[in-house]
Amino acid sequence: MTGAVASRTETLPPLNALNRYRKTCFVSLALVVGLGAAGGLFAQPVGEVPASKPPTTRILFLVDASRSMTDIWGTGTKMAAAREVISKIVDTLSQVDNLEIGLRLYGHLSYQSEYNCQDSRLEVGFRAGNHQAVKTKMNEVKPKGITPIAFALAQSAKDFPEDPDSRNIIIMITDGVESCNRDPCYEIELLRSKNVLLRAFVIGLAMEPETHGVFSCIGDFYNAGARADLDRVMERVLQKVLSRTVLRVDLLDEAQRPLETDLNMSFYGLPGGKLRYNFYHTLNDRGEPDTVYVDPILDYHLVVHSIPPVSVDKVLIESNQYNVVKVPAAQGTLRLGTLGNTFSYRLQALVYQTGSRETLNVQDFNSEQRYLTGKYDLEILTLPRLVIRGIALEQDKITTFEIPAPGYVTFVHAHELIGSVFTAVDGEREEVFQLNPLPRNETIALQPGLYQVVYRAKQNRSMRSTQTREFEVKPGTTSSLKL
Amino acid sequence: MKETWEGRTKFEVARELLEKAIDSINRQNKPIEFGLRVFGHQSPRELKNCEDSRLEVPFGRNNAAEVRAALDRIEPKGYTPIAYSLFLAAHDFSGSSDAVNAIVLITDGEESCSGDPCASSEALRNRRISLKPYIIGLGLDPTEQAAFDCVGDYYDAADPVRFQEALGVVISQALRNTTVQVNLLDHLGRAAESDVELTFYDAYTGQDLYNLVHTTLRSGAPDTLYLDPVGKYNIDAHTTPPVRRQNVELVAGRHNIIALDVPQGDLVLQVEGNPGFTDLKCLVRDPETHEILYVQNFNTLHRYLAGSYNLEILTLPRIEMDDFPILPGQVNPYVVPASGRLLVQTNEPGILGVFIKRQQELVRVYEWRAFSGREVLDLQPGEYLLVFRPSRNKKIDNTREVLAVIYPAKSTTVRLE
Repeated sequence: MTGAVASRTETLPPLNALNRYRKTCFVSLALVVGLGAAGGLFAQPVGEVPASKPPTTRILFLVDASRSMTDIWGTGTKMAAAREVISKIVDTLSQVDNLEIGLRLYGHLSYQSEYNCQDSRLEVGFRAGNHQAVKTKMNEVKPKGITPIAFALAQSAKDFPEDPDSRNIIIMITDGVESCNRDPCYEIELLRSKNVLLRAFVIGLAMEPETHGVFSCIGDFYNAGARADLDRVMERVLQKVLSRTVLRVDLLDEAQRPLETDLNMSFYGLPGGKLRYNFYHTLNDRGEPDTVYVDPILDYHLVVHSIPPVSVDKVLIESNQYNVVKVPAAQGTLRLGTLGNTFSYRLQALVYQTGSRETLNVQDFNSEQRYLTGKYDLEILTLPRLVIRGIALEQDKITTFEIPAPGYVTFVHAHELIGSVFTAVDGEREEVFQLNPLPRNETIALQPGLYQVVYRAKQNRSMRSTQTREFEVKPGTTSSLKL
Repeated sequence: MKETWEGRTKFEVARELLEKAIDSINRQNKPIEFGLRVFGHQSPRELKNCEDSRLEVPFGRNNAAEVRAALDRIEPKGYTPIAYSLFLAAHDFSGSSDAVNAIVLITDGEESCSGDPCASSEALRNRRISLKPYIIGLGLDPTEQAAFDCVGDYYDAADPVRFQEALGVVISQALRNTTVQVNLLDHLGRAAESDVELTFYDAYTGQDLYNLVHTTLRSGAPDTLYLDPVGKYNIDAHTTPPVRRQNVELVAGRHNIIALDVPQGDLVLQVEGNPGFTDLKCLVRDPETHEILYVQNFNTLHRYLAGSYNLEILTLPRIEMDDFPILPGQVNPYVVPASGRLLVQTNEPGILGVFIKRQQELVRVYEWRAFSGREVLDLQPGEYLLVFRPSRNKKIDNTREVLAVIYPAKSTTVRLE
């Protein structure tokens, strides 16, 4: 039942409705900074004991400095537009805790005529307090070459320090498509498979509509159609990178009410599938599902650890919005008990989804366990095993299943023998267990019923010496059988 | 039957030889009774009487003279309602369960009514009334002979000498003891397996007739049984899983060998370091159907048919070992690591889950819905993630995670502060 459940993201009004960039950029970034400073921006990574440091966010600006960036766009060149937007952003980012930036350029080392497909360099590496260096480099750069995007992406893998917990982001600004014969999609997949990169954003400068699709495999693509759009686009990207986003998981009962709770939820980040968060679901004092903050640069694969687990293949997260995922998780309780005497040994039942024989859970007797509502088969490890088919568990109900107490039978034999205890099921003999051949007393708990023991003294080499004895087991009794 | 055979009618020849045979058996003074049923002797051909069959002499002691008298009286003239006659023959026998019942059908033609002699013969055997009929055909052509394949054992008597031979063979077979030897074959095809419980069922009614524990004699050869040769058997060898042979028919008066392929190997289950008593169980499943074939306790040995099995060991978490090979003639050990012990303590009650990572995915191992104070859990060695949320304030954000490493046969204490 780990089947996919459709996820739905309810879109509520954004926390900040922003209309104009100049006025709002500062406001929204200030908000982000405020949240960041408040600490606990992101939940604990798995494997850490609580309350360690939050993860570092590393943003690599990957900027096109090819010849075409000298084209006039609005009031200046495209390069000037890139320079302005990065300078502004860098100033803001210098206020954010746990964040480092880097700058890699491409197409700025060789002239177009040289056709240098390895024209890319990390100009400012990740370190604290390098903001001015980034701004200075952006002021100095002279665009002149071609656009080796795939090469630049491949190289950027080495730009991020090794840090399994960091949030590695590439923000790429480009005005052209790959000019060397390499596949950027392939390179980006490689970075993801090595867990180097979390997410890439591509900002296109007045790119033709037919080129947009080329970038979709790299990451989220935003086209700034005009110079005036660029700041707004950059703001959206940063919002996605830096804001935290509210997520509410509604665990629905059969009436579609969000009343199920107390289940652990594992969130795996997409792309990549790395485990990001575990949260034990709860209903708050208002009786509503409590919310959590999640990192919006990822989408999530969600697994709710009910029995069987329920999963949502992809929870799409809208940053700065109130995201709600609805997961059907109606549960009922199965209680297993024994009538009369309890068992003197640990008795377990295998719980299967009806018809299947894949063990879903092993439940001890005299215990209760919640399962998703539906039908289950039990295979109880008594002697003989009992198979109960199609037990229906209903919403909020405790279904009790009780089995009779066994009887204890002691098989007494002074000689070595070969024998087994059988039961007849639909007229066919089924072996219940084999007697220990050694001459000693053996006590077995058997379910009430009629049995036959078929045996032959080991040293008696004649099949006709086989003896068959019938005996009855009554619940809660002890008896002995001399063979 | 009016056709001639060396100048006399076939009927006359058959009558004479049958009378001789009965006299000869009678003189041996064995506990044998005869009955005589004749078909096609009451109505002339033109009447097409398909119910022309009559028990002329019922079973009885010393009735040879009566049989002879009846044979002398009879004139062949009508149809050949074989199926109908076999059907009625079922009621001619007394029903004493100690007797071995046999039918000797003497005919010179095919079924001439629409009856199905095969079905009638099958019904006789299914109901354990008689052995497969012996058919003595008086000069039948090959197609006619083939029609009797399903009815019983056919003996062709093209001439009086061959008829006499056939009658002799048939009667002596029906009278001799029928013996059975069950060969339990190992992986090399040798009758070397033994000590397996066998059940012989009536193939038709499903009733169990014999329960035996297989054995070999001191010579190493399987022991011999005397079984009722009438009817068909289903035989179960109670190996794990059981082996069934359906619809076994014995040849009366012969030594029958029933061979069952039961190559076996032993599975022994152990905990590493052999820490003594354990109530740990292993489910041994059929890899195809996933049905449990046997639940084997640790520190025990059990014998299985050679092959692959899925093992499911009820540790926490469960160990699943698919397609574990049981090699024939060997002890196949399967050893699991000793569990370690997790001790968890907390000052505040809450909900606590124990998870393990499998291929990047967390799998639930255990959960306390109302955890408080101190709990103990035996777990297989490995890394576990404990996910805990105090119930005190209802905030998801209070969910905490602690990594716990469990070592074999050691305790790991975790305090949830």
